[in-house]
Amino acid sequence: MSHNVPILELVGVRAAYGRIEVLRGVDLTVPRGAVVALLGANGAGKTTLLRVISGLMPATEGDIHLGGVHVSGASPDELTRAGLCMVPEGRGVFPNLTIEENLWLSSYAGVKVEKVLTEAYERFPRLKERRRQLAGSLSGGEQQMLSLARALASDPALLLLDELSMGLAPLIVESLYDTVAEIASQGVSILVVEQFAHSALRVADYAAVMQHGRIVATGEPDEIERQLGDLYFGGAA
Amino acid sequence: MRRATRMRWLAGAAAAAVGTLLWPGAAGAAPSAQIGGASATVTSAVVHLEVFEPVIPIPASPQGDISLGYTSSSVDSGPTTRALASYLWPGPVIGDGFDQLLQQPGVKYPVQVDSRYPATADAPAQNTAQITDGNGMTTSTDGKDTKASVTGLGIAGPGVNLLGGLGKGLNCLLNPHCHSSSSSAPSSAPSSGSSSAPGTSSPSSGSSIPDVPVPVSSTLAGLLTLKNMVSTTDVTVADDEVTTTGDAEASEIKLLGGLIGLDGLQVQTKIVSNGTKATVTGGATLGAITIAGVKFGLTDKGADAGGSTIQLPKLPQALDTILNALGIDIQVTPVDQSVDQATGKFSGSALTISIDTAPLKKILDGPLNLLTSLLPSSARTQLAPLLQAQPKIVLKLGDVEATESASPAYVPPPTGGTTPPSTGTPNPPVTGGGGANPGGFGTGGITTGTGTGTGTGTLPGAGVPQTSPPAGNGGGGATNPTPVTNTALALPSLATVPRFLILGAIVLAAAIGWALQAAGASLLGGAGACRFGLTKGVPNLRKG
Repeated sequence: MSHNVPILELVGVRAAYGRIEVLRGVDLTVPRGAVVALLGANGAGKTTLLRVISGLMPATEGDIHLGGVHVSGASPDELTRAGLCMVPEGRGVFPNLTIEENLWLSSYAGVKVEKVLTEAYERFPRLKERRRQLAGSLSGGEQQMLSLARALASDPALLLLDELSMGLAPLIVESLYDTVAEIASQGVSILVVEQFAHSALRVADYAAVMQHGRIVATGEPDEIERQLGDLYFGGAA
Repeated sequence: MRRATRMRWLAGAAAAAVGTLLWPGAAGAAPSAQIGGASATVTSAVVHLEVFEPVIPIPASPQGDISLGYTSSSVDSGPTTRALASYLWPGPVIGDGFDQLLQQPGVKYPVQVDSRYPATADAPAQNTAQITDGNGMTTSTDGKDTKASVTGLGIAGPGVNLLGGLGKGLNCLLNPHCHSSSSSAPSSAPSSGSSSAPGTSSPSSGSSIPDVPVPVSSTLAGLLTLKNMVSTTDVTVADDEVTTTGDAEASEIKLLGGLIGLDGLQVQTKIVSNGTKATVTGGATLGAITIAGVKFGLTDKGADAGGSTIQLPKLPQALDTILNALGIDIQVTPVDQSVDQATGKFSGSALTISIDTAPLKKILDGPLNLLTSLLPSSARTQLAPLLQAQPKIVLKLGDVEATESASPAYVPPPTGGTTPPSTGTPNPPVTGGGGANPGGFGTGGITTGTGTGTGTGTLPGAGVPQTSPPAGNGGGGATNPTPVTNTALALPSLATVPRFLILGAIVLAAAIGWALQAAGASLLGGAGACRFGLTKGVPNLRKG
């Protein structure tokens, strides 16, 4: 697989919930090793796009290419085995299991449980301190750390992050995005979906803005940040 | 290991596993009364206003809604539970997405209390906010019992004398003979005639509560005032059954500045599921109605005005035609309930008024187009989306919706020997009946949907509409679930030819399934060419 081939390329992707069309022809490219921030207001279709990419929801039209290969219709488990991993909005931790038990589940991806625990605790020492605590009783930031640690256990090549900052204090969000930058520096490609643009743009190589199911702007983070006011409130569509 | 070899091993292992499960030759798993998992959601609102307008770019239906006296309880296996109570709930988009709208993470919609299991700092196991005693919102959940309630003295015009009312209310609390129903309507609220008229009583089980409605703006008071509102929801998970209840009540409701008055309304439901069978009871009750000062007693025979009974519906044909042409539809006590094995559903309200503005928009299109053509082109562009709007507005008084489903726990088959099927004896049916009406709505009421009892071997509930006084909590044909009978067939004994034939058939089916899957993949899987000429399959992204 050539390094020039984008790790993810979407061409004219459409998707709908019943008769309500949510994605209306999305074109988006994530270069290998890059962090791409996908911004947009509530209801723009960002989460739906991640669900379509990760195989949780079928696209009604369009093409999805991973590493230059056409993967439309592939199942979530096939995509996960291939190296795609999604951290869902709301974190998706098992509230009635401890931190350690949540991490054990990641070893089902074929990675040794000792390796999963060691790497998770190295990256997030806070999780080690509380490893016997139920995940449901953790703070939002700690749950997000656990969710990230679980995703990284599958050794992903492409990480999809959905609303990392949701319900978190600004300081925690900044700290989590520092971790995202560190993960990206190790060669992992990242597509991060955010409503709160500033933190995501800080670590992104490229950015795109979504409105009403379409990409309405793409460019360098600085350029997008300057246009954000117009894009969010001026109806660039 | 190559994929094909691995698939063969998997097919063999699956067949072996099935065989092992069947091996004891028992008479099948003895059904248990234990609940294995459950899912239940119930919402209740005293007043619920919905706005359907696809032009509004909100990916939800309805696009906007607001509820007065809103409660919600939901339970899922885990357990994961939530109880929510709000005096004024702006719908989930604004209520739950408040921090998103403000772009301030952690900021919650203020007029609510919330409890969750597992508890969080924002949603503790027990939560309450009271405006005055008995006038507020309460939630609680411990994973087994999830309750939400809003009890309020209602809303009145801005001129209500709060301090005077509070004094009267305290006096009522101290005097057990004093009831809120004896008090008059707030001075600023439009008069609806005598509040001591027959049929006017508190729906809240006769409890005495101080007469201090929450004052609201004159605009809202002109649209709606009401008293003694109660909204409760509850989901209780016991070892052997799940019970979901919802209740919405109010009295002395006045709409459109008193043009339409209602003595009281009550919508109740109760769904019980034991994992194999669900039972749904409940109904909607509407008290007497006053339109422009003329009082109608609503019974199941029709509207009673001035001593003579008029069959319902009694809208003149011409008026009915006009209302339809204007897109207005009025439904009294619409109730829909259903049972599908262990799943029960209920949806009902006391009064539903739908206003579809599409017909009205068509009538107005001509003059509007003429007016907009006179505007500058820039203004026309700005106004264009607004002019396309033709919202449908639905006002529901007393709105309760509930869904409950449960599944039985898996019980491993007993080891050793076969057990003959037991012949369970059904419990004697219990006759439902008109239970005591706790502070109902007195004379003049219409009730629908009470007592649809289900369950085998028992009497069906009284499904006909009941005349006033409306049936209370015991109004339906309560049923006892029939004891579950062990009906599974025994497998052939060990080491018999039929048994080996069954196991052989399973192995053969697994092998054929694998072969068909492989053939299908090779025939169809590779055939779908990408329009960009790219190969199909899933690459290993890590091999960059």
